[in-house]
Amino acid sequence: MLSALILWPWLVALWLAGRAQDSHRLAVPAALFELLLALAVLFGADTPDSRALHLPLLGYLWYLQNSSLGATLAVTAAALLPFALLFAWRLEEFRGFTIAALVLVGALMGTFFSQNFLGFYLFYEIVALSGAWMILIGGDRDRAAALRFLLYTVGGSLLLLVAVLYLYLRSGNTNGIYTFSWTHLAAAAAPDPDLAWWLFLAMLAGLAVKLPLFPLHSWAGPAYGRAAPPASMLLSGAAVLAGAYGLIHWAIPLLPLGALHFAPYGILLGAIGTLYAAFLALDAPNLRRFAAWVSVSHMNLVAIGLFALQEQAVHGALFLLVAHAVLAAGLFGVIAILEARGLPGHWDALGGLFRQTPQLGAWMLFFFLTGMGLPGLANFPGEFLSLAGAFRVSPWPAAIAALGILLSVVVFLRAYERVMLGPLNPGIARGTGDLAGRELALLWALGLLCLWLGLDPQPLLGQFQGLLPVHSAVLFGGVAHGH
Amino acid sequence: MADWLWLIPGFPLLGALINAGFGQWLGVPMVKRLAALMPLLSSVVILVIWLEHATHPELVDRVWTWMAVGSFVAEIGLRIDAVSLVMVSIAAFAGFLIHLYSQQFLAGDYGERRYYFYLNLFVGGMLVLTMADNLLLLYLGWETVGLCSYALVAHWYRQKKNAWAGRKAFVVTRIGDTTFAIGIFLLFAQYHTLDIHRLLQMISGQPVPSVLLAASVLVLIGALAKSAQFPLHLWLPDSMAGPSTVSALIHAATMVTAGVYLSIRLLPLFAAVPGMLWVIALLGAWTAFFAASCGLAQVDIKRVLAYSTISQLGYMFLAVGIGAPALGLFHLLVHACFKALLFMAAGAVISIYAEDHDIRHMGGLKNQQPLLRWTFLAGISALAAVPLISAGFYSKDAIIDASWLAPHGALLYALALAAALMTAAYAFRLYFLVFEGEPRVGEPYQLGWGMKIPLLILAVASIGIGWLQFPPGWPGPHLWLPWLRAELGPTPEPSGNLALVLETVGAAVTLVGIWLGYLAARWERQGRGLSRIGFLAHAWYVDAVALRFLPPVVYGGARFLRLGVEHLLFRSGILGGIREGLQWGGVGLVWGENGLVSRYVAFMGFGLLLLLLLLWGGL
Repeated sequence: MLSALILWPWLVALWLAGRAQDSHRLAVPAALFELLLALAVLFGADTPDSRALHLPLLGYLWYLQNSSLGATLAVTAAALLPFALLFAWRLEEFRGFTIAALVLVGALMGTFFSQNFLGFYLFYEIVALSGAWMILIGGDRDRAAALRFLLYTVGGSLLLLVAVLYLYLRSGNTNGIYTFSWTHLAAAAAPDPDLAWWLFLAMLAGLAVKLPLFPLHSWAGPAYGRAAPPASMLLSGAAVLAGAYGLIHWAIPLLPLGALHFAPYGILLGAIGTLYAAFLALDAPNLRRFAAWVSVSHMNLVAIGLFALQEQAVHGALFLLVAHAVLAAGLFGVIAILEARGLPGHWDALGGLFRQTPQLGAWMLFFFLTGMGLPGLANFPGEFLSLAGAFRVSPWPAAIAALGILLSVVVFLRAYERVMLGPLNPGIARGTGDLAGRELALLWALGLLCLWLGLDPQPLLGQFQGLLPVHSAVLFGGVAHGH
Repeated sequence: MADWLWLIPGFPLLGALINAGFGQWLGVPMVKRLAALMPLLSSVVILVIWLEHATHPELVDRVWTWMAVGSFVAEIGLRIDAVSLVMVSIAAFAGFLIHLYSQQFLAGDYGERRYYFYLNLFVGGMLVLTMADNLLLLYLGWETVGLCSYALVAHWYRQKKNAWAGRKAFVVTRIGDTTFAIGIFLLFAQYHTLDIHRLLQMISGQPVPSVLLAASVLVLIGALAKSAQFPLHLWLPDSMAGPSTVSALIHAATMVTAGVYLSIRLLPLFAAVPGMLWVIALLGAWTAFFAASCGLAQVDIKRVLAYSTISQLGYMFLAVGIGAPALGLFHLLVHACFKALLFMAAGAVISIYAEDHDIRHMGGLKNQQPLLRWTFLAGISALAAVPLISAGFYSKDAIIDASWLAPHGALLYALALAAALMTAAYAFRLYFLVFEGEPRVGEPYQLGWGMKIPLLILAVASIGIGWLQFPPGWPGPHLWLPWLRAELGPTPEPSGNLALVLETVGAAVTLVGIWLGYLAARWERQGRGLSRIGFLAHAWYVDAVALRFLPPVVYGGARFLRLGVEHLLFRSGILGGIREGLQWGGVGLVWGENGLVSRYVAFMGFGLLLLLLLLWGGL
């Protein structure tokens, strides 16, 4: 079952790679089937551990195990896929995009369930590669942006590999069992605090770059800003899940002392990043960059929640991850719809569009409000819990991040005004059509998801209570932290 | 338990939902009627509460659990007590009257469906705000009404300045929302609960932790921003860009009073911090004074009313600060009636004069529109607090008189009294300029019954509702304060000769003010009016200074971060450095030639090999 989650999209991608015609017909049903599989995994289908590829000195390379956190994130990524495909519908390179997206999502599933670090690492690298590939499909085909994305992620993940290699050798040298399995690595005696600090930093470099945590964020603006909107949707909504999951499943449990030591800095960096990215969004030259930095700002808020190492905050951060995936679909979806109408997203080319496309305008406002963290919509529970939890741990950085509440209203409303309000931009064709049925249906689906997450977040929050006992012990009081 | 309380906010929210989902198929006429029906249904439910539970209302409805993580629980929980019963009555009933008035007033406008969607959503949000039993749900209502205020101020979005005014309103109030949110975080960090009742119980009778000072200041800033108190009043005059009905509902009767409501609700929090209440009183008195002085010199009919709203809200904060929240709530109720009336009537006046807001271009409307004139006069009398016959006399003068008893009461009293003088002056200046004098005929405008009924109801209320509570010692009904006594405690009231002196002075000041208003109108007609005093007309230049400095700092900062830090430091500096380093390190050989993927694979493989060797050797 778990293997199918990875192999199914890869197989479909392979099939599509060999054939030129069927992509529009196959892509969405395949994505929906993937979602169905993920839902089955989440809702208690029998999912035995899947082990294969036993290698000497490395353990089972293909070692997948179900967990409620992994399954929740898997459903999130799988749910994002059909949206991305449908928003990419009119893309010239739809087939290429579909293949890249399927490869990416399949690899993501691998990162969520892998219990062997090398397996996780390989999947993680495939995510990075297919992400870079996706940046080059559609959009501006900016090789520099793709390269920068790769440089950052690969450079970072090499450090991650070094750190875990050290842990692996250390545990192997002490008890003679050389394996990369999570249980072994986590059970090994903790390195002394100084070393743990450096090792944690190294792991962080590999994982936090994916979020991206300030100051490792610099790839994100060009990458999200130059890629086609559906690609940015998957990168900022789904690919980031791997980084956050890696932090909570690998970095923090393997190096609890390092995490504890780093936590105050992590909160501070997250707070700076939240504000910094919001400022960049305020001065963004076009709509895509704006969405890119907004997304980075939210991810830094996630980092605050994770590093608070506090019950409410971690729940909030994980919730925000899922909510942000929905938001990314909405934001980049709206941008994709604009681009499908020949509106490239530069501020000068927009303005007063509400008059032509009131429905699109209403939905744009809806997702902007979600992004502003309006209570009742998806982002709010996550933002609130992250910040409220962080306040109990370190109030000052959390207060800095809370200023983002204020800044975001300027950021979003100014962008909205530039696109939708005021007199109609003379450059916009008179006949610019409002939403078509397919687009409207997609936005309604996302909108209802937003409302559901915002008004009744409890079912999703409950999922995170099922974290592995080890996670809970580490995160929620196994190491006393502040309180 | 009363598990039907959710119906009260539920009806308008349902209306908004139906409008959003099916409004296109229903058509505008149907949407309009449905929208007006919803607050009426809420009012009916509220009427039932009045009939059955009026003496001691205490109803709770826990609808569902919003969030629960560990020790933190936030319910969607609604509560009705005496204070919130007053608030929901205003929100639902004034909401209904304004929906009714809008039917004709905005007929044929562009974006009618959008208007009713936000109006319904607003009423729903306001009802949630006033009924919330925990701070988080209150915050939900708080933000919802803020959003609706934004959308409705920017209703006529095709003009840039309207969209800008809407954003300004949202941004300035969100300064307060942010501090309010931080205050909530602090309270949660300290007390681990956001349930208002439990929170207040934990605060009272405990030694005051230092965090409480910070939390109460932050929450107070939120309340001040929402209620447009100095110096966060900047957004309210500009928000007059929206339709007059919106100003009537949101920027007079309901949303702007949310800050007052919050400070009444959280009074024990403020009371626990020494000196806090007095600061609130001083800020309120000062705002009442400041805004009244600005009102004297305005020529835009809606701006006069906007500054009067700021000023009247100042009186309500003054009442809260001097420990007389019951009087503050009383004035809130009275103000909601007469100010909603004035704004709606002003809307009609503006329509008559073809969207010209300048009162210097108006005059003599009393013969053309007798009903409009009499109802407007009722509202103006209440605003000016004409002795004995207007509701404002019973609510506002009671606050002014009670402020004498507070510590340093003379200062508060002097500010409040000077404000009252100016209030009477600008109120009657407005009335004389618009309705008296030489007739300047506008366009023919026929008020339909949908407009007349709300005006008449509110006019009657602006006169009569004050009789709920006569001044202390007078024969007549004393209903209001005793009714609220159980919840809000005793209200300080002057008695004996002191009361008599204060009441006489108050009444005399109002009469003098009316006379000054008459003079001011005459001067204005002769072209030498108060509007020529730039300092007052530009509201002491506070707004100009703020606009001059704050936005450039924010936008300039953003530009600096993008060009100076992100581009120069992160992109060129760090990334360039890495690239250089790699090239010098020899990896550049693999780097330079091939395609993207092969580069990567080579790079990764080489690095891996190197690392493995190093590590294996090292251990």
